[in-house]
Amino acid sequence: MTLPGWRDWLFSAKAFVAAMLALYLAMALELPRPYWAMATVYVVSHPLTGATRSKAVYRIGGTLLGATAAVIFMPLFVNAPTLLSLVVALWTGTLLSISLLDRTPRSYLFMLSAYTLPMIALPALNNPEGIFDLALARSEEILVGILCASVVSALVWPGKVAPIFSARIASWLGDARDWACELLQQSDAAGQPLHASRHKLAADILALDQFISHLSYDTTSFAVVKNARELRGRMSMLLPILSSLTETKQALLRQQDGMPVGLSELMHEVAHWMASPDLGHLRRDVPLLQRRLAALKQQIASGDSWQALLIAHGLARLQSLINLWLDCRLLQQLIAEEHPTFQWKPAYRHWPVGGTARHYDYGMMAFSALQASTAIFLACQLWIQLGWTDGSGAVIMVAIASCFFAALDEPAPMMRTFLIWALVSIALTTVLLFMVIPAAYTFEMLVAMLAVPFLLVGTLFTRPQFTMIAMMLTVNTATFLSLQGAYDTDFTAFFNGNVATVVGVSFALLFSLLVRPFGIELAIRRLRRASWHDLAETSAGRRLDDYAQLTARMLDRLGLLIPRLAASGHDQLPQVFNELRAGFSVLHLQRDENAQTGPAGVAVQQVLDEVERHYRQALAQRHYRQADAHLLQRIDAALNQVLAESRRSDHHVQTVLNALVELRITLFPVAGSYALAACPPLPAGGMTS
Amino acid sequence: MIGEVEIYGVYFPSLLILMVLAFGVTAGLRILLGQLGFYKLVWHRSLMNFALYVIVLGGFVVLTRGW
Repeated sequence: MTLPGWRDWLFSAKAFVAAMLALYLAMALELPRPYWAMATVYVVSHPLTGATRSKAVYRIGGTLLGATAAVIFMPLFVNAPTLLSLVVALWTGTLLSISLLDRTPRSYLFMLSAYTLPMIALPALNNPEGIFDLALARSEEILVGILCASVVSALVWPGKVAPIFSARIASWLGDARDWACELLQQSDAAGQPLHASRHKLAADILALDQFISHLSYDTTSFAVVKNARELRGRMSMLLPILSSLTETKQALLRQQDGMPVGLSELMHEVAHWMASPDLGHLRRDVPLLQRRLAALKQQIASGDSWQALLIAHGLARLQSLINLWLDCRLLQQLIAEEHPTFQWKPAYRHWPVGGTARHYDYGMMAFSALQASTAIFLACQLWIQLGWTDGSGAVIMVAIASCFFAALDEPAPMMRTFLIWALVSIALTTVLLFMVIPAAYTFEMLVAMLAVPFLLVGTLFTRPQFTMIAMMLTVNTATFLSLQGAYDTDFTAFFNGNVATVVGVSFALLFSLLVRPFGIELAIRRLRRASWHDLAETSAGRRLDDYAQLTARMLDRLGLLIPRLAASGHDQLPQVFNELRAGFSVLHLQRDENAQTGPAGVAVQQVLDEVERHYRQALAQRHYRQADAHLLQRIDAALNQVLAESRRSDHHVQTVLNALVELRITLFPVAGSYALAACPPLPAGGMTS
Repeated sequence: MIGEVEIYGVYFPSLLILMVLAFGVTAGLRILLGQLGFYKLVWHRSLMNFALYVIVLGGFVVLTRGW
């Protein structure tokens, strides 16, 4: 825990100034709840101006949508409370599921409108005529808060994206480099180090995604967004390539002859090259490396032995790695420069990297939405039966807590955190409200008193691990303070409101514990089943519409799996990477331009059929098992056929060979060397399978 | 400047209408200036945009009310 630097203080000061400005304006406009404007500033504040703007736009939209719904539904059902609570629950569930389907920051719009309806409609039950004024007031207060936050964040020392982004990219590429260097320089088969950087890299890619979507709201950075998207695609391609290189190296080390000296020297050189900090240096050395690689290919990778095939495959992967890394570094440079000094041409071109497809787990989403709906409906029923006037606050908190954490596999721990920090906020508020603020006679004095706690907590926003806590503290404290034009704190109302908050969050927590006994484990299982399904479909050739999309979905799934695997302490990671690589091999074999004719084509087709069967079996048996020897025979037969009949130098044939080699070392890592002679002849009429 | 505009029975202050209009006009101007490469000469883009907005809004107020 380091002390906050000047950037943190600056951000905190900006947020506080915006919050006080919003409070002042809302009081001057005589809005009923000025503190909502103040809380809103803290909700949308973000160190990046672009992110503030995006959150602001979505918050306005979400508020207006929710408020409109409240104005429409409330008068219709005011005399049928049960029906009204059903409508509220359904609305929240529906909007929540829409927000879960949208994995961009835009999902905030739907989530906000999901709980804005109960926020406005429920307190108005005692006074249905006032619903329109209430909805209008809330919209106005939020608008004031958002305007202040946006204007202050854009005008006063705006947070430039480029430096922050560059620092992040540098650390992400550092993770990639660590992993690459570790594997390239490792020299013995026994040492299987734990690649912490591997976990990190996939998480980095998810973080990059979030960053990009915020960036697109920063008006100054259209070019940056384009480059960042390219970078993201290439970073995610690094994962399968590095993992494949690792496996190839292991397979080579298990061979009798072991690793050829030339290859390991080249690997060391590439590692050294990747680590070089100077970009000019990096670009100058590429042709040299390429020449070395080509020479090696000629020398040791032109035979038909298993060893030669492995080496050829390893070299092809190394080639891709060099190109990808060059691209990444050039893009990093481009993003860091305000005015680009050079034209970037992609070096890595043989695979589409720009897919945007995502993996969706509809079952889990429906469950989360249903859980929120049920919780709200039950809480409403309780509230109505108990006849507790101030209970609406509790129901609102149930809605907010259910929505906030719906996207998590295990919402309960986060809800517990939420509850704890809400309690801390209540304590802080109590101190402020009854000991400090009564001494404030003017607005200036009030600002001076609020400055200390809010400025201190505000410095936490800039650190990712504390953002959530800082947000809870500031927003809750601002809300509980209920600052209005005049000091009229009524202890009973204050106490009631706090009790309602605690009861609401506790209810959501208990309900979540009750209906969600499963968590990360189930999410992992479902993700893996989805990927088996995709693999089987692809092998069967049913999904050949778009390679880029399929690739993107596989990589996205990997990005979702890795943090979960890391959190659950499972070591299924090697298998997950295996599936990714198997998927890539299958895609390579399926691509039209690699189609082989004659017996080789038939043999490749049979391999694909076997792969499909293998994954269908995994699906049917609900757990992964070792592929059977039949598939190994098929792969060897296909390798034979392809080698026997074609020109080895042809690029597409090379691709097919490499894909077959990849499949073999992926599915049968410990299978011995493949030998031309030891391979069973194709059964007569080899079409039957 | 205290005039109000009635839209479906809801009264809006006329300044609000002008503000929304000015925002639209400024958005158009921003795109235009961006196309012309004007922003390469600007030190603080957001501040420039904000000032532009205030000028446009002021212009609208003058136009609707006279001096």
